[in-house]
Amino acid sequence: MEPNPLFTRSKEIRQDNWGRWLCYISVSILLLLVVTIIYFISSKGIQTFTKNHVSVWSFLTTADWNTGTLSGGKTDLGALALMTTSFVTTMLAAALATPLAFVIGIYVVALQPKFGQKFVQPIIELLLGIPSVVYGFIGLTVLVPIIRQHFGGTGFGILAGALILALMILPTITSLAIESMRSVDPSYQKFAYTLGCTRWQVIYHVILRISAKKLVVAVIYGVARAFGEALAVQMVIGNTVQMATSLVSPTATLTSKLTTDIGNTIDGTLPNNALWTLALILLLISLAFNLIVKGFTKGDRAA
Amino acid sequence: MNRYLIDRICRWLIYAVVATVVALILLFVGFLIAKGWSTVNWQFLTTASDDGLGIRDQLFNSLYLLILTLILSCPIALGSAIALTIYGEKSRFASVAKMAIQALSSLPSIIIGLFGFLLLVLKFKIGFSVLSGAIALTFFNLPILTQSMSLAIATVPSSRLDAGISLGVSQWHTIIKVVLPEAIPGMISGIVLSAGRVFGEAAALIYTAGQSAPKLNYGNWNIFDSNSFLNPLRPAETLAVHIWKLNTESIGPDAEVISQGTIVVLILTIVAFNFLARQLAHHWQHKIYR
Amino acid sequence: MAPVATYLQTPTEPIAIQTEDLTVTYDQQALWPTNLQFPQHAITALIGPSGSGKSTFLRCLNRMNDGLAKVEGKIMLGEVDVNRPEINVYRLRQQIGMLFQQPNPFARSIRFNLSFGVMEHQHISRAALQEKMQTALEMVDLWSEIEGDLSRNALQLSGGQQQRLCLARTLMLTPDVLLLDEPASALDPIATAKIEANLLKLKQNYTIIIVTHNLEQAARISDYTAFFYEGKLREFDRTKQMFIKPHLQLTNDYLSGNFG
Repeated sequence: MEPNPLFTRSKEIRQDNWGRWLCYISVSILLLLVVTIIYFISSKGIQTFTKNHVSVWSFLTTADWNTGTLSGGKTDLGALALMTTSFVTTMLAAALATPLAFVIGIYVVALQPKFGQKFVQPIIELLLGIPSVVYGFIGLTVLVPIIRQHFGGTGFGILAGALILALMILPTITSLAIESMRSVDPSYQKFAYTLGCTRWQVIYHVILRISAKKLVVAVIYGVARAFGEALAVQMVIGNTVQMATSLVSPTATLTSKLTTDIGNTIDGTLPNNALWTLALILLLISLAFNLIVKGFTKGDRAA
Repeated sequence: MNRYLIDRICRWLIYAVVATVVALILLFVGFLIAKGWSTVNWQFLTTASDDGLGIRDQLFNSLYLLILTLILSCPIALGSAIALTIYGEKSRFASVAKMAIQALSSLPSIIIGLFGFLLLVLKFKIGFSVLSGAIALTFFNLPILTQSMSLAIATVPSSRLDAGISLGVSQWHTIIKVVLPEAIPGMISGIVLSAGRVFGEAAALIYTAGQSAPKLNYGNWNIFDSNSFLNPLRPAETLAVHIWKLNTESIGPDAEVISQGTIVVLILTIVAFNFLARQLAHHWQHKIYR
Repeated sequence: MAPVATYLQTPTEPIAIQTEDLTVTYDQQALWPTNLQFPQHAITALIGPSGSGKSTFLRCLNRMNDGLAKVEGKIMLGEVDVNRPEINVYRLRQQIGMLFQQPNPFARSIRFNLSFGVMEHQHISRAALQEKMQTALEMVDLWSEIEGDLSRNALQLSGGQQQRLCLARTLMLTPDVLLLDEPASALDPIATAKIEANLLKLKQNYTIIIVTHNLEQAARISDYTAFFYEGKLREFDRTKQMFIKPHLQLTNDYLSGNFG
């Protein structure tokens, strides 16, 4: 007697096992990658403290960075100046870009949706495609000379860095702002109009009020992108580790220091380890931004 | 002050700001193109940088790295996207993975570059090479590509999957023969858009693919020869890295001209990618909904 | 828990499929032990208010709840309990076809829609496939409507045509049992009438189980009716009997529209 086909295996079982296996391998590669990145950079980064016995406190709270022969054998490792410059430059960039991004967002969503969507938004998003070295190059060859002429100094410094970063994160914040303003239920707007509100009142009291939380997230995304940007900043910041005395004095950020020095130090030495510590700080701050966004969006979903 | 007046003032202010910003951006991009336009010609594209005004090898390196990166990242991203959107839609594993992908996409590209340097160049001793660069770019590309592929797959109604399963077809064959073909337009535009990002990336490459472009022999198909254009273990400076390198270390007499020309090539290629993404998506849409 | 009043008639016809103490649990219990016998080559309607467990019950029969819910008890298809883990669910679903609430054709040609399942399971010649497709389309009265043009995209068809194409797609595998989950709820009255005509024709050869919210529909086409309420099977009887004189007050209230 032929066995009942319901009790025999068929190729479909094999297909599903195989497909599931393939897909889960892929995800595992991604997970492994994240874990490995964090592990590698952490294990390298903490050697400054565990192997070279530099104090964590002084690393984070002093501002001098001297390694190698230029300082005559004297070694100072303080990341405060680097971190300060990173934060100040980033915040300044966000402060410049955010109002513009919101204004453009309002224009595209609430004032001229047709023209905005067809022309303005694509033009803004054109900036997204431009590689960061191009921004750096423009900063170096156009912006820095202009700053030098009008504000004095060498032209290199926080101002140049912030302006370039502002341009770079403008499309990021704008796109997200447009998305979040668009997600406001149009029936609220219609309702407000029937109450006799002016357009500006609808924009201010309805659209901005309701999308406020998402707009904050948009800005955080922009800030995170600016904070991690390396090459464009490195090309215009001046690359001198010191507390900036003005917006036009040369200084350095976490990312610019890493970019310039990691190839010039020998693996395993203290100056090299100290750079990996900077990388670790950068990694942790990036993950922190990620957590902040997560916190914001989580509240959203619950509401 | 009258609220109608406020309304009018605010609106005109907004119009003015938008007009200014748009004008500035157009000026900025126009300036970039205009500056380098005269430099770009056939000779510029086909001369090795050692021999004069040219970017032949950098251009090839960029394309070579791009292709290798896509070959490495597409299957992994696709598999992950399927796992996240279909297999483990609500599982705990998937939510952990989604968090990890988000974290990965939030990492600065310099961190990816340094990690690649640590793992590939120092640990595995692959050296500054095409291979190291392609793997680092894959790390860089994976989170974004996975997210865009997940989105593309999620646009296909889940009822298609139910239909396939109710016919006794395996879930896997329903996915690859019904769901994925329908998601192709979205996936293709995701891939091409990510290609644009990869093509212009420099920070992930300066310590992985290296900062030098040895002169290549395009007739040498032996991938083990150091001057073969296909050799995956030679250093490979790309267009973006070239611009950075020219402007940070060796400011030669032609640095500015070459940079400007290279920028035009970079931007036009990326714009072409974006255009292509839209066209391909359109084409496939027609093919499927014929 | 106080026992609830139930009335279950035993059909006199041969039984195609029956459940024995079938229960379903998601996070909470969705279906209490259910014993139902479906007569062969007849239409059985499952009725009841939303959330009464009838759709949940239906989806168990071809194991579509696998991985989504805990399904316990027996589902006897002939002599075989198909709710056991060692059952090949892929083959089971070829024997028990399903039609969903929303028409869900693949966004491809009509030909692809019809041939997909067959090609996955059998080796079949081009000519035989063509003939099979024509037969299936004729059974649902779609062949003449599309003028034999199988290359058209299924999404270009009207909603009712799409649903009948889905029915034809299921028939391509020549199942024994057809499960229909409110197949006409998204359709207009004319399209609904066409589907109903199809079903009345199909019951010569198929055992049909249909979930419906439309009581007139149940009365029009079904031979037997099962009434579900709050996750429990309450009454099962010949449709004629139930719609004329239900045994339970609850059923009477539901049928006369006092709640629902």
